[in-house]
Amino acid sequence: MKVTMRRGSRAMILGAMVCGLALSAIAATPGFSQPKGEVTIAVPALNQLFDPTSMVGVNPHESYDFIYDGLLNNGPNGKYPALAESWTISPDGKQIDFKLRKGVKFSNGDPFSAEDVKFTFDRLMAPDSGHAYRKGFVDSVERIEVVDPYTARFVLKNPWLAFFTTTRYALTPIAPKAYYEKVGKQGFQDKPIGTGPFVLVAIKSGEFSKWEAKPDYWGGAPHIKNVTQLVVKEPFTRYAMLEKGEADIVAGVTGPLLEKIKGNANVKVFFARYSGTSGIFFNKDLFPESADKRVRLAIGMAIDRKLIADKIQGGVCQPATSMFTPGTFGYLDGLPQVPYDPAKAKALLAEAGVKPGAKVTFTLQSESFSALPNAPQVLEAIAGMLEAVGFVVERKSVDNNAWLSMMRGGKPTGIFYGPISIPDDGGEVLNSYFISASGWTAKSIKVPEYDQIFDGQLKAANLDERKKILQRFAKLESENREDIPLLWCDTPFAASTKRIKSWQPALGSGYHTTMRSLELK
Amino acid sequence: MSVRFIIERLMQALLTMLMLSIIVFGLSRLTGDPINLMAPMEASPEDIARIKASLGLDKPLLTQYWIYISNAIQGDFGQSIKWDRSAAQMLLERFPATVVLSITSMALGLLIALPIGIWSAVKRDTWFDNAGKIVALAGQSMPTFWFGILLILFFSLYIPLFPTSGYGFDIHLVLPTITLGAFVAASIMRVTRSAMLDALETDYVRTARAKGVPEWRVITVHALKNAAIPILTITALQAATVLRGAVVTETVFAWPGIGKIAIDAVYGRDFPLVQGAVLMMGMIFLVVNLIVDVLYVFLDPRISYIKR
Repeated sequence: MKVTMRRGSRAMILGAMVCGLALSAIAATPGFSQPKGEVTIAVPALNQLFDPTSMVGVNPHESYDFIYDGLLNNGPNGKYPALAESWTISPDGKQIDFKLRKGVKFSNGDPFSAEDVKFTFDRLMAPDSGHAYRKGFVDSVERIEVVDPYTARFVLKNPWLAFFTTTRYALTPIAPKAYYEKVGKQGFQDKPIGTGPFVLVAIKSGEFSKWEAKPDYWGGAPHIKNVTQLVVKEPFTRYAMLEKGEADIVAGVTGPLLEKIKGNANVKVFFARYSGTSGIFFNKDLFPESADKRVRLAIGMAIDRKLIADKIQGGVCQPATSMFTPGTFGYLDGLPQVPYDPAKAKALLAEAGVKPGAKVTFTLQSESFSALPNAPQVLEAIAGMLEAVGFVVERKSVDNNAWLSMMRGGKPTGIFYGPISIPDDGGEVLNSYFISASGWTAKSIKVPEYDQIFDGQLKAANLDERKKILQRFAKLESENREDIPLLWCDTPFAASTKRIKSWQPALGSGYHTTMRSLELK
Repeated sequence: MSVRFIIERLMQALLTMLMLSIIVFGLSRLTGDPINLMAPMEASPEDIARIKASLGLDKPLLTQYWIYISNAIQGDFGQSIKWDRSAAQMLLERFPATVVLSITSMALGLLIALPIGIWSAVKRDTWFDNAGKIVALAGQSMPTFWFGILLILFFSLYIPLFPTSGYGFDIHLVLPTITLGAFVAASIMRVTRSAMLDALETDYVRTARAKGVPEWRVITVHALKNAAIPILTITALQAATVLRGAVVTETVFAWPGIGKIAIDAVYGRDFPLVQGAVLMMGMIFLVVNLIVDVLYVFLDPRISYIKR
């Protein structure tokens, strides 16, 4: 009897301990409601290199847009004058005078001036610069002069209208000369400052960045007070955070997760429109039959782009009519799509002498691009569709690094996929894919007229003329079908309707977060 | 046991670390060039050469290795390519998070595994033993990332007891600890059961029972003590499992440890950080195994490392 009582007491004590622990856990669980004016964004990856004169690609803009302004900024309706209020271009197009905004200050109180513009561009063009797009600047800019504190002159080697239409050029963040020279490169990385709408208040590399809004921002104070960018790699965890209110916005939502999010009444998806474009290209050395337009067309007709867009990409993408999107400078409306018609594809292949069982190589990707969400599944689906019209597809599976090695080495597979993130300028699309020196197509497109058009748009007298030249290319390519336009994609951001009132992500870029337009309830 | 033994084991550990450094250095170089990810396609060969030189990747591999290992000995793993910060500093910042998660997971694993393993052996072929087998099988075969997601779904969303992710030595630890602990528990449970079954069938246990020693004493003192060596061995081996599992668990729960940053570093071909993370994890594993070797002697006086 004594023993039984002891056991009972122990069980009671143990039970009480368990209940106590559970209750204390519940009591300790935070309410997960964000303080007023604070926004948490869960992102799959975050670039935390802050020196804009050593920019490593397009993705640093997810941080740059908080700290800096460019001569132009990117917004929901595209690019708009920011630190440059206006500009005049000389008749020969080789000199641009930027009139700079007065009264703008860096977050340490230093005034912004033309010296900062010169410093930024000089530094990124310096021989020892690690800037990813240095070549574009060096090819076009002779020197930069300070005419007066609020006028910066770009003396060019040749006309450079692409500066105004290309994000990587126009949005170059302007760094503070005096501060940068005082603290040095490492000091600047540790505590970056700019003229932008936010200041960096805390950081842990690979984990989070915390930003505080500047109430005296020249463009008007942001509607929100604080932003935390939180790195959460697992997509489901990001979704759970949103669902539970631990995050207000989550990025990197695609495929089945996007479908789940779309069905949630408490979540609204905002889109950065036309942030990616893609096409199918051909390596004519490995796949000589693709020199025949009928073969290229047949491959285009074998691919059901609408099915891919709807079923694999959750409606984030739509079938494209060209590599130019409606957000691209030089876009031509009304071009026809390559229809999905497998029967006609088979007939065209037979007509071109390509027999069923013909072998082709095709690149699969193990990672997604911002320009092509769910790339692994999309490319596998395309491989299957090629098989359905009679090809024997040898798949070459690569990750991003191996893919870049392959492309850089000029050895893509017979049929391959080409993406563009931030497809903002037709000239850059041409440069990357369609001229005879294009690296992304391993120099496999050799159409002399395309090279002439590329040169022509470089020398155009004004933006209207340049646009017409680029539209001529779009029309010509629609007839030639050197590539098969695949999809135009938007970048989705899922936001909690309980907290987010409105938001307009930037046009043509999933990296430009434009938090200034975000309003809370 | 002697000081000589400790010194010998330390020398072996150093040799292992050296081999590990060569393997991780070689393998990371085989995975590709970080410049591919850094430089845009339009970058000229000169641009690429310039970026390579700035990172020291233009030097011959042997020279690169020599620089890496001679700096690593001094605790300098180089500068992270992706974050432009000292890799050693970044790893040290994350070290406490990984160690705490590992310790709590191991503790939870042992708390689950030992009682169930022992009782399964005592109650061999009963419903309890069979249930234990099923639990162990599930624990071993369930992918960590999947179990972690299930826990988030049930205990963060459906029953909102715990946060979905994040860091803190409080309730934030609960779900990651269960995820990792469950995986650890399964293996230890199986070995504990087997070791106890063997021990319970030995002559000294039979003698103890014949002498009228209480059953709880037979189990805990006579059998368990003698079954401790295999249990300790599997526990030490599970240290590697915990470190490996931490890579996945930390990623699922956004737990800011060495595993999570290692994943980022691998994707970014951040060689200094990858090398540092692997060496650090290797070192932890070697230290745990060294401690276990020492503990063997205390558990079983028949074991001696002194050469006769």
